[in-house]
Amino acid sequence: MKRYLTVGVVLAALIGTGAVFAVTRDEPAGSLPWVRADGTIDMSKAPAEFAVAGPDGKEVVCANGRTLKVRKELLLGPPAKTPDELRAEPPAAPGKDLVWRCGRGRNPHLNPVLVPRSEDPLGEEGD
Amino acid sequence: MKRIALVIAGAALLVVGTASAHTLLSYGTTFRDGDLCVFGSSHIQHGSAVIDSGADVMSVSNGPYLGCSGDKAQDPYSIALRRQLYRWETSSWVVCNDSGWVYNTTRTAQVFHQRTFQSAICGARYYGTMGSGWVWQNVGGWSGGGVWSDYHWLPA
Repeated sequence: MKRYLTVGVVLAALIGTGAVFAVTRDEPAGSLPWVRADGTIDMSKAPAEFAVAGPDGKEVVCANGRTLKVRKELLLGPPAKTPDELRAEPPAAPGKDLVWRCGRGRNPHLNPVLVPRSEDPLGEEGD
Repeated sequence: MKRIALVIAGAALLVVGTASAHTLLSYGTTFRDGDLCVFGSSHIQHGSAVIDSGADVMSVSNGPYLGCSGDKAQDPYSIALRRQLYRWETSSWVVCNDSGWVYNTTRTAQVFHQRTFQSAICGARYYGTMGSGWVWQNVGGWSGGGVWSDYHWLPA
């Protein structure tokens, strides 16, 4: 009986340790289906949208309680402006961090806006 | 003999440097047509105290015999690069840091962007860098694509 008890305690400890490890270190499932072997991206296979993190490192949740999502085209696609347009109106702060925030309207979680980090209404990120 | 000793010392330094910092780097051709190749790369590195996330994009000539070879300089604002740091959250990748677009402001063939963080800014998680690099062509528009560094665990 004592042996069964000992084995039970050891098993419970192992399972508990595994559960904690699984919670704290959820690992991505190996290679991503939208990443080719050389690391280049296959846009057609990328997730349709991505969540974005706020200054606390957690996913941004909009006022309607929905998680903010940004379409892959806005994250992984090319710039919206042509070189001629950019030369005519150069970006104010190129290379400065930008942050995604909830938009306006009835579905702010589907209407993300990109703002300079210095103008972020949610505050500075902690880096 | 002295030269051999120098080489060995250099190799030893390289090994020590490699051991103290872990780097994941990917690079590949994101676009290729009759006269242009676009190379992209992205990396994530962590040493003893910081995270280094970087990406670059290069405009390269493509000739009938040499293939993708030699810089192909572009006018200002004709090369665009964006670096994003992603972190893994339970079942999906979440954007943790976004550089916004960086452009070449002089005539050149390459744009590079790098950011160093003093800690894992989105907590102890798996992190990876996405570099998105594009080159403008008068016929065809922005040409290029993304490169993923692959990921690894970064402690808080």
